[in-house]
Formats: sequence, structure tokens, C-alpha cells
Amino acid sequence: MNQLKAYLLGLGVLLLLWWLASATFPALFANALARKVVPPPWEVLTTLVNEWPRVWPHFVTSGLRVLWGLLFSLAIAVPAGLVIGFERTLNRLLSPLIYLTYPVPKVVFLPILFVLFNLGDGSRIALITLVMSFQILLSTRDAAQHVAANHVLSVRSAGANRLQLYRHVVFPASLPAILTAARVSIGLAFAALYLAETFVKPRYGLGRYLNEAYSLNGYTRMMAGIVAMGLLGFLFYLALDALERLLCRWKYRA
Amino acid sequence: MRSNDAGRVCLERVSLAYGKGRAKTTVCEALDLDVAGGESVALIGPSGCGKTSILHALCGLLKPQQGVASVGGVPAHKPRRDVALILQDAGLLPWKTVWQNASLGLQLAGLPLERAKPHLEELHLAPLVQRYPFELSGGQRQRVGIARALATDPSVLLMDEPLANLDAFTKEHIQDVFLALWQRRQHTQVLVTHDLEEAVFLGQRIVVLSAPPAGIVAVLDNPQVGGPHWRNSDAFYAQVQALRKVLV
Repeated sequence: MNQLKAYLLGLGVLLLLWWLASATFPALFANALARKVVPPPWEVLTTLVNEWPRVWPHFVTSGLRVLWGLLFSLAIAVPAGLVIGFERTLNRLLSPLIYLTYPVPKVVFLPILFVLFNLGDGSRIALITLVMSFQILLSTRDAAQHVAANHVLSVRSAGANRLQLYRHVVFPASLPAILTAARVSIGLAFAALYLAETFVKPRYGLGRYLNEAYSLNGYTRMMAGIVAMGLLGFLFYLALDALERLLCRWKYRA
Repeated sequence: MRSNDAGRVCLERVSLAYGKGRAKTTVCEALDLDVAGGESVALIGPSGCGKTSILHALCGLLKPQQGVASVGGVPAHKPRRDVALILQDAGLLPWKTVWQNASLGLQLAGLPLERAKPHLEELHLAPLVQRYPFELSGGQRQRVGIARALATDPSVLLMDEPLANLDAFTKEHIQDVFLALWQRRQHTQVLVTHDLEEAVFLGQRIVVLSAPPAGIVAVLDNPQVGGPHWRNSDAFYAQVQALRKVLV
């Protein structure tokens, strides 16, 4: 209930700031177009409700792209991060490689991904996977590297083999960090998604919807698309929060 | 009654070190120790003298540089089900409930988990089985650690300062639990401690180690362990005094 109140309060503050911006921009800018770029919230929300049947396929398609990207990146980055972080020799060998490639913005690979995975969903999902994987890999590696020595000792002394050590100690100890990384990378995923959906326009995708609205100077529609994207991101955050509460009950029991 | 040989713990000319190359630190050298099956021995000595390393060698987690560490006549090359280690903070996994922690050794060995139940009941932990470690007091956590160690029915119990973080009242209560369990189960017990009274309360023999590289400075026989009113007896305080003289 407190969580709901906090969300409603946050939403209220956001709407207030938005309304203030929409009310003050026309007075601040002489440019006629600049006065229109921030329409009032109720206008945008009404447009979103009216446009929803049109927005929906874009919303679902983008949501599925991010979901697949998240699942693929978890499947790749979590095992790799756990092993690289926990096995010292591997960490020494592979960390320089990670540090060299991490700062490179992954969106620059989009043209290559279009060649490798064609112009369909595959290349867009591959880009999102690439973007999210690095964030999750790095956080998982760090978490696995700092697993408490007494937990490892305790389970090793009870006769655990390597696989059991990963199952009972390394993975559960790293899980909160993995889920935090997944949450952080959702933001990056949406940035990549926007680019991937505007670069070579797909049939559906919120990026395409936004871009179309922008090219027609339809700022109210564009803002409606942005709100839809925010809503989609919010749903991912809620799902990851619920997942964390389910899988990391030991952190939340009062 | 256990076979005495099964629980016999031996260190023969054992040298232990950690680190490699220049960072290598030798903690004990050519150490000999023979603990009979069913005996309770306390190891005491200054910090860094290798007490913990000795326990790690005995449960197969640390390979001696030289010599042989063995349990039941078998060199301790890897952890075994019949040798249990109890750690300072009980070594409980925060993400597992009391039940999951207590039955972990059984799960790892592929044994029926139900075997943990009588130990949890004996240690008055049955109502707490669904709780997580952070929902327990220090004494309760340590009792879960004991239940976990006993679940696999070990013939040797190695204890690494198991009560160091507990308050005085809880510490005495758990010491009573250790004593009662040892008297009933007759397992071999090797206790590492910094607490003189704890060593005298639980050790039939108290082995005093020197600063690193450690060797044995003295061995104090303490045969009255577990006698009636042992903690409050004059003999107990006399032994604590005698041990203090050796250490100072």
C-alpha cells in the first residue's frame, strides 16, 4: 500500500512539473514551434487514450523485443559473469577484454547486426541483448567476485562440488546484484530500442511511432508515444521488482 | 558407541602455509598432534598461529606443505561427510531458511533431508524452521550451525571459535549444548578458541600453540571436563589459572 502511495505521489509530481513546463514554455520561447513542443499532460493523455488501438501493436512489439533481449542477455551474461567473477584465473584473463569493450557504445554495431541478422526483429533483439549483456555481465562478475568467503568455506567444508558451490552460494549471493543490473539495463535497452526502431523502420515499434509523429510535427502524438514507452519501461521495472521479491525473499522478510 | 579409530585425528610433522611466492606465510611447522577417537581437545594460542589452518587441513580444505593430516587413519585430501566444521558465525547462508541450512549437508550428499529433523528438535529449533538467519538471535544461529553439522552424523566435529561473537550468557548456554552433545554422542571434538574458560570447560586436553610459525608450547591435561558442577568448581578455576600462567 505504501508502495502504491509512493508511485501515485511520484506520478502527481511528474504531472505537476509537466504542466508547469507546458504552461511556461509559450512565454519563454518566441519560436512558435518551441511553444508547442511540450503540450499539457491532459491533452497528451487524452490523445494516448484515443490513439491506444493504434499504439497497442507498437507497444506490444517493442515490449516483446525488450523482453527477448532481457531473456537472452540474462541467459548469456549471468553464467558468464558468475564464472568469470568466481574463477580468479578466468577473471584475470578476461577482465581486460571486458574493460576494453565495455565503453564502446553498442549501438554502433547496429549496421553490422542488420547484416548478420537481417532487417527483421533478430537484429533489433540482438542489439538490445548486446547492450543489456554488458551491464549484467559486469555486475554479475563483480558480485561473484565478492561472495563472502565464509559462505564458500561453509559449503565447501560440507562437501560441495564446484557445481553445488555455484548453485547454493555463488548464484544466490549474486542474484540481488543481477536483478539490479537488469533494472539498470532496462533504461539502456529502451535507448537502444528507439534507435533500432528508427534506423531502418520496422512495421511496428514505439520508436517508429514516435519518429512518425515527430516528422509530422505531431508533438502531442509524439509525447503520447513517449508516455507509452515510459509505461512499458515501468511495467518492466514492476516485473523485475516482483521477481526480486519472489526470488530474494530473505532480503524482504520483516 | 563409536569406533575410536574412526574419529582419531592426527597431524604428523605437518607444516601449513598460505599465499604463494613472496607472499607465502608459514603458519605452523612440523606440528604433531594425536587426538584419540571420542576425545575433546581445545587449541589455544595467539592470533595468526595457524589454529584455523589446522582445522582446514583436517577437513581437507588446505593441503599441508609437508606432513600428513588424517582423520580415522585416512589422509584428509578432501572434505568428508564424517568430518564437520562449525564456523565462528555458524556459516549460515542468508538466502536459505533454518530448515534449508540445517539440511544442506544432507542435500549435498544426496541423503534424506528428514535426518536433520531430530537435531533441530533436540536444539529447540523446530518452531523456527521457516525463518531466515537474519530473523534469528546469535545463539539461535549458532544452534542451527550445530544442527547442520550434526545432521550428517559426523565422527569428528571441528569448531573454529564458534562462540566468539556471542554474549556471555548465550556463550555459556551453547557451551553447555556442546558439552552435552559430546558426552552423549562421543564424537571427537577439536575446538579452536581464544577464550581460556571455554578451553577449560570443553577440552579434555588443552594444546597451547606458539606464535607463527606455530609449534606446541604446552599441553594441559584437563580430565575432569564434564564432571558435576564443573563450571563452578574450584578445580575449574584452578585449571583456568594454570592455563593463564602457561600463556602469559
